[in-house]
Order: sequence, then C-alpha cells, then structure tokens
Amino acid sequence: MTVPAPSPRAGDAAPVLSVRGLDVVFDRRVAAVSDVSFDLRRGEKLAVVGESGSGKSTLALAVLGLIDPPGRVAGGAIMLNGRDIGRLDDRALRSIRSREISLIFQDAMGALDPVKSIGAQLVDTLRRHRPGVGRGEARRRAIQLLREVEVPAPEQRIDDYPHQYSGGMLQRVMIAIALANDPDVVIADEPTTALDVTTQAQVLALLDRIVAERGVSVVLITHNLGIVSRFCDTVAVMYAGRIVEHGRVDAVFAAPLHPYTEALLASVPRADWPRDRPLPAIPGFPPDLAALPPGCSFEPRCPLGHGLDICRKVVPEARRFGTGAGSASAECHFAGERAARRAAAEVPA
Amino acid sequence: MLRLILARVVTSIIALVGASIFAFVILRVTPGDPTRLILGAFAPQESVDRLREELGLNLPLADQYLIYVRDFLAGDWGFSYSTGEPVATQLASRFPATLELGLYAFLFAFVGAVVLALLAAYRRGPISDGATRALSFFGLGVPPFWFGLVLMIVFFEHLHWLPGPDGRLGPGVAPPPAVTRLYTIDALLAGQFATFADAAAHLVLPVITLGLFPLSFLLRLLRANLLDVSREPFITVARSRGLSRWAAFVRHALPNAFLPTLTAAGLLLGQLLAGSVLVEKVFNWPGVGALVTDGILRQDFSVVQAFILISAFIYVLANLLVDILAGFIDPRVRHAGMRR
Amino acid sequence: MTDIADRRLPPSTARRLARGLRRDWALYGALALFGALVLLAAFGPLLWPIGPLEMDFAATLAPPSLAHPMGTDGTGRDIFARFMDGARVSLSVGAAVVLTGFVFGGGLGLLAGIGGWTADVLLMRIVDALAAFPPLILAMAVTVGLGGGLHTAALGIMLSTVPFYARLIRSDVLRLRGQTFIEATTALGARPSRIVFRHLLPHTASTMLIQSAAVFGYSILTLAGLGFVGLGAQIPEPEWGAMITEGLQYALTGGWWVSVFPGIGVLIAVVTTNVIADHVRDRIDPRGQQLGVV
Repeated sequence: MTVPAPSPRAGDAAPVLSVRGLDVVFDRRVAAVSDVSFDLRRGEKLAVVGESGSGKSTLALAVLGLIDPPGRVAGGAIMLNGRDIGRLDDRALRSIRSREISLIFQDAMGALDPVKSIGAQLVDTLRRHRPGVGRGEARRRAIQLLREVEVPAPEQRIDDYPHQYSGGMLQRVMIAIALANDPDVVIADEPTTALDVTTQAQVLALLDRIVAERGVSVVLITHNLGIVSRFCDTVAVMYAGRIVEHGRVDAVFAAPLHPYTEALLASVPRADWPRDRPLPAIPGFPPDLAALPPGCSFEPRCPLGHGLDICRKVVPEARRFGTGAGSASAECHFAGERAARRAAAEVPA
Repeated sequence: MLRLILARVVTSIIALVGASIFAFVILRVTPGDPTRLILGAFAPQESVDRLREELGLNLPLADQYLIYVRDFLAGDWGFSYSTGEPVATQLASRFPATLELGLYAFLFAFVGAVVLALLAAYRRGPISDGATRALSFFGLGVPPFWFGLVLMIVFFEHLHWLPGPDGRLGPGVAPPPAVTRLYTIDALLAGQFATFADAAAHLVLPVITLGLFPLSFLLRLLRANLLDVSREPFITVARSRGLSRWAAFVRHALPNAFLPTLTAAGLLLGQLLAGSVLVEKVFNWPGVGALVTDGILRQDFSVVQAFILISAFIYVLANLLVDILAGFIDPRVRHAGMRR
Repeated sequence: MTDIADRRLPPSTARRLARGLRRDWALYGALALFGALVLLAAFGPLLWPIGPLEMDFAATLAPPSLAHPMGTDGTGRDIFARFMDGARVSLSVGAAVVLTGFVFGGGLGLLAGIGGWTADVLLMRIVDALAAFPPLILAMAVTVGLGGGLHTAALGIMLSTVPFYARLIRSDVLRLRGQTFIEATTALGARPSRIVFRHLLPHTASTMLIQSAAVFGYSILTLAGLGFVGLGAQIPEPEWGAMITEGLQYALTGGWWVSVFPGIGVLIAVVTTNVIADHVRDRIDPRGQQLGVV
C-alpha cells in the first residue's frame, strides 16, 4: 500500500479523491492496474505519467466506473468526497459523473457524436444533471461555457457540428463539457497529445486559468514530462500498472528515487544534446501485462536491479522518504539507499 | 451538396436508359418472334402478321426502341392477351393489395430489425448474439414461398389459429368502403372493427413471410454497425457525462449506426418487389405479384414485361431518394464543401 | 489508448483461420451439412435404386417411409431421388454462376479499375443498367425473354451477380492502385498484366472467395425462386423450386412432404454456405479485439 505524498497545501483537511489499492483486471489474465493508491487534494494538479500500456487510461476509466466486461475492478476503494464510489452501481454513478467528477478524452474528434451539434451535446449534459433547467436557460449557459473556454463567436458556433471545428477548438469544447456541471475533480487523459505545440500551449494555459478560477482538482494523464513540470503540482509515475513513484513534481524531477523515473527523465531529448551521442532510451520493452514477473516488474530493464535476486523475486513495497514537502514515495528495494546517499551528499545548508 | 445530388440524378437516368435498352433487347428483340411470346405458340399466321404490324415489328430497331420507351412513359403498357384488358388497368387494380402487404412487411422488417439489433448489441451476451445471428441466417436462406407454405401448414391446417390461402379477407366478409383501398385502414376509418380484425388476421402470415428476408438483411447490417459504433470513443464520453449505457446506445449509437443502414432501405424495396412475386401466389393474395405469376403460368407475358420495367423504375428511384435523404441527414455530407 | 505494441508479426491468413478453430461448432456443423449435401448430390443417385423420373402409380402421394424416405408425389415419383437430383442441379448452377459471374463481372470491374476514366465511366454505366433491376427480376427478364429452362435461368442469375462482382473488384483495384507498393512496382518497370496478376489479385483473393460463398447461396435461392414461378427448370426436371410448386396442390390437404423436403434442401444449402462464409470472414478479417476499454 502506498503512503500518499503529503498535501502541497496546508489547511485542506480531507482529500477530494482518495484511491486505495485499486486493481483492474481484464479477461482474468491481464493486470492492467495493480495496487494503485493516491490522494488528490482540493485544487491539486496531479500528473500521471507513464509509457503506453502502463495503465494510465485504464486508471482514469476505473475511477469513473467505466470499465466494461471483459474488464473489471478486482479490488480496492475509490473515495470521492468521502464516499466509496467503487461500490456504487451504474445508476448511482450516473449522477456522480459530470457532477462531481468528469473526464476529458484524448481524441476530441472521436469523442463527440458526429451527427449532433456541439450545442446539443452541451445542453444535454447540462440538463441531464439539473432537472429544472429549461432549454433556453441551458442554451445560455452553454454559450457561456463556450466563451469561458475561449471559443470565438460562441453564439454562432454553438450550432455547428464537430467536423466543422478544428482540433484545438474541439479540445476546448471537451473541456467545456467536462466543466459544465461544476465537478470537483477533472481527469484529463492526454488532452494535448493530438495537438500541435502552439495549440497545446494555449489549451494548457486555458486549463491553468480555469483550475485557478474554479478550484477544481485535476488529474492530468500524459507522457509529456515538459507539461508535467510546467503545469502540475504532484506527479505519479506508473509502470506496468503500478505507481512506482509519487511526490511533488520539483522533488521527483530533481531527485528521482525510482530507476524508472530517473531513466524517463534522462530520455527526454534536449536541444543541447551532442550530435554524435545516441539518444538515451530505456532498453527493452514494456512487460506483457498478462504475464508479469513475480518480482519487480521493472527488473528486466532496470540498470540497478537487473539480474538481482531480490528484484526478481520480491515485489518492492512503497515507502516514503524525505520529509514534508520534499518527500516522495517509491517502490524500489534501493530507494532507501539512494535517498540516504543523496541526503548525505548534500552539504547541510 | 447540390452537385452531388445532380450527379446522382444523372447517373440514375443513364442507368434507367441502359436498363430500358436491356429490357428492350431481351424481351423484344432476342426471342425469335416476340409475337409468339404474346400470342402463344399456336396462333394463326394472320394474327401473327397483324400483331407484327401493330407492334411495329417491321420498323428499324432504333425506332422500335423509341416507340417502346414512349409508350412506357405514357402509361401504355400493352394488353393482356388472355384477358384483353390493358395491362395498366390490371396493375392498377391489383396494386393496393400489394401496397398493403408491402407496407406492413416493411414495418415488420424495420421495427423488428431495430429492436432485435439493439437488444443483441446492448446485451452482448452469447445467447442473444447467437439467437440473432441464427435468425438472420435462417431468414436469409429460407425460400420465402416455402416458408409461407410451412407457416400455413402449421398455423392454418394444424392449429387453425390463422386463416389460410384465401386472400385478403375470409369468405363472406365484404371489403370496407374504399378510401385508401388498404383494407385495414379503410375498415378502421369506417368503424368496421370485425372487418379490420379479419383483414389483419389475413395479413399476419403473408407479412411475416414477405418481411422475413428484409428483416434478416437489416438485422445483420444494423447489428454490425451498432457493434462498430459502440466501440467509438464518443459512446464512452456520453457515459462519462452521466448517461446510462442504454441511453448512450439509443441516443448516440443508434443514430450513427442508422446512417449506413438507411442506404440499404432502397435495396429493401427491391427485395419486397421481388418477394411479392414469390409470396403472393402462396396465399392467393390478389396483388401485382400474383398477377405476374399467373401471367407466366399462362404464357401471357405482356404483364410480366411491364412489371419488369416498372420495377426497375421504382428501384432506381427509391435508391436515388434514399441516397439523397441520407446525404441530408448526415451533417458531414450536408456541409461538404462548406468548411469554415 | 491501451496500445500494447505487439512485436510479433501479424499471423498469416492460414494461421488466423486456424486460430480458435477448435471451438467453432457452428462452422463445423455447417461444413458437415454442406459436405453431406455435396456427397448426396454426387453419389446418391448412383447408390439409390429408384430414379428421379420413375413413376409408380401404385404408390402415389405416399408419406415418408423406409422405401421412400421422403415420400412420393402425385405421380408416384420418389421424392428422395428427386431431392438428390435437385441438389445436383442447384449446386452445379450455384458453382457455375459463381465462376462465370466472377470472371465476367470481375473482369468488368478489373478493366474499369485499371483502365482510364473513360473506360471506368462507360463500363460502370453498363453495370448500373444491370443493377437497375432488383436481382430476381433481372433473372426473370432473361428467362422470360430467352425462354425458360435451366440454362437461361443460370444465365439470368449470373447477370444479376455481375454488378456485385464488378463493383467489388473495381473498388478493391482502385484502392490498391493508390497504394505505394503498386507505384513502386510500376516504377520498377513491371508490365500492367504482371501488376494485375502478381500483385493486385492476391490481395483481393481472400475477400473474393468469401463473398463468392454468399453469391453461391444467393444463386441457389434465386434458382429455386425462378423454378417456383415456372421460369427455371421445366417439368419434369427435378429442381427444388419447381418441386415446391408441384407440391403446392397437396400441401394443405395432407401431402406436406412433396413441398417441404425440397424447401429444406434449399434452406440447408443456402444457410450452410452463408454460415461458412461468415465464420471464415470473421477469422481472416482482423477485427480489432478491444479489451473493453476505449
């Protein structure tokens, strides 16, 4: 069980979202998410990073209760605003989705019904969760939302269809839909991956502003470490369905405890990288989630633990190191050693 | 958008012209002596000669073709040589029966396919899936005339639940006052509920028989489309917004799955036209199909020829309309060429 | 989103077909039934003592028994013998239609696909003219015009499959033409015929085979329809559709077997071919197996 990183903000007592020991299994063989635990505080922006296939998207869907057979949530608790929503049936979950927690999808073009207008989809979201609201009122709110996400000329564009919008605009619409009912938590699954760099920056800035204004908590799923460092407060690194490291962004990025995190950071291409040196990459391939090794799942590719008995046989427990805001938790047999060595190497201020 | 419509209309017209040429060649030119086709093999020579003059068979082929087309478009479809009546009148008098049967068969096929496809795609269970596929295979493979017969053997001869091959109404039941000439509707309009019940009872087996193939066809198509669409991201998005799985299916998956199915509606009409020829005789249904079957039996081919060309006309027109309609409904096609 | 990279090459067609084959009961059942029908059609008449045209006036309208497993008709002919002959007729017409339809229709489509714009437009308008008729009605037109009988019926049915094959092959050819490997082959100096036979056709082969199975089933059904209205096989030739018509007069007065058995024959022939086509296509055509997560 992970011991969650302490909140970056003093004063906020209970976390908005609290996940403990979540397991998601597909077809009874594939362990897509294993023993995942983390807390999300009010206003916190948590990044979930990892390679393709690490379980990030599955985690997002699991929190919203959208895992369909042949997949199922095999264990763990999901507490939203103090309630265990993991136990609720679809009916009860429906009133929670969009109202307390919502999801922003990666493929904005595919995420909207091509035969319904943007306005229709927005209005539907609004009226579904506010029974008394009439169509006129809902339409006004929808235009308001579009304006908030910086869609130009919202009164005209509200009746357009998805194929008449550009990718960046569609992503804004997705954000509008996600925010329509004032949720407490928004999970954004790779919201900028399909966009060009300029649009990416714009959308992120928008997200930033909205989060500040509305005070929502965000879980940002991404594999782009640059976005993480600029936008998020905390980061959880996922590998093979587990969270292998979790802590404040600056702490983790400055002094990564888990070898995978370290390798990830090292593999980010830099503009000043010497031409003749090969780009750093993590050797090997992500593991087959249907056939995970008995020990640490990163062991086959780990520069530290490859071939070591303890790494091959024993799954490392998550332990927290460091204190206060600079602390982080990691699942590695050698994390403690590395943390201690680093602390010793630092000259006391 | 307009350009697309225009292109389709032109292609349709060309297709019809081509079809008329084909029909002309096959039905008028190739048989050694078309008069034999109309008069039968034993007619005296003077009748044959007279008919040749009448039909203009001594004119050059191109002229003959033009006369053929002109007559057809003007509604002059020749005479039935066994009854002496003009073909047009015969067809017109038989048309309401076929229309009533076809209408209900279409509804049966359509509604049945939507309901079954939705259930199968939504439940995703092996049983409902297997049952739907089995039904489709059966419906697409069973000869409709045989199926109708079997239904009658079971429900009429053995169980006595439903009427047998006595057409639209039982013996001794008078048709309702003619408004639409569709007995069920006319009976309701006139308040004759007993007649309505009788007409409806007589419709049950023929409708099922005629509608089974189109139902199976639509079911396969719709089910496949629904399954494809239900895997699209926007369905999951809809659920993340708070819709139940069923609501997401009906409000988002179904309309999207419908579009490609809509274009098949034209094909459906063709199946109903062909089906009426095969099915009406079995139930002694007094419609156009039975007229054609009788014509073949009696070697009176004037009706058959007219029917063939009319079918092509209706078929092409229906497909054209359906394509245009689908273009209007799909906003992506509607706005083609209007990108912002 | 869960795109776990599969680093093994995608399995070959044969392997994809074999995968999971063990549990496919529907496919096995269909293959077995169809095979039985073929055997019956091919060898049955050789082994069965009674001929399809032999009349036995002492045993008219006899219900199914050991001597006559499917009973006899109004003139005492053994229905089982006629059934097997009918199977031979239907299966051979089906095969003939598929072969000729594929060659003729496919040829049209191929020419339209590889020819220039003019050829395409011209040829496709011819196809359109044929497609203007509902399929059965086109076959009817041919048999009415050229006279009834098995051969004209087969011709008519074949013509009604031409639009299907032509459009299918044309769209495949057009699609493949645009693909890079064709450009590459042309750049290497290959002759058009070589391109067609060595590169285009193999890609379309598997889909063609599977679609042809559906056409096979369709032709048997249509042949029966034509026989039913009297335009196909002529009396007394045993063809399932004509046999059903013959049995109409006895059907509701107790002699159900005359019409029912031939109909079962059509049903089995068409359904088994469709099932086989479907199941084979499901295997060969990779339909992405999602894990329930979009």
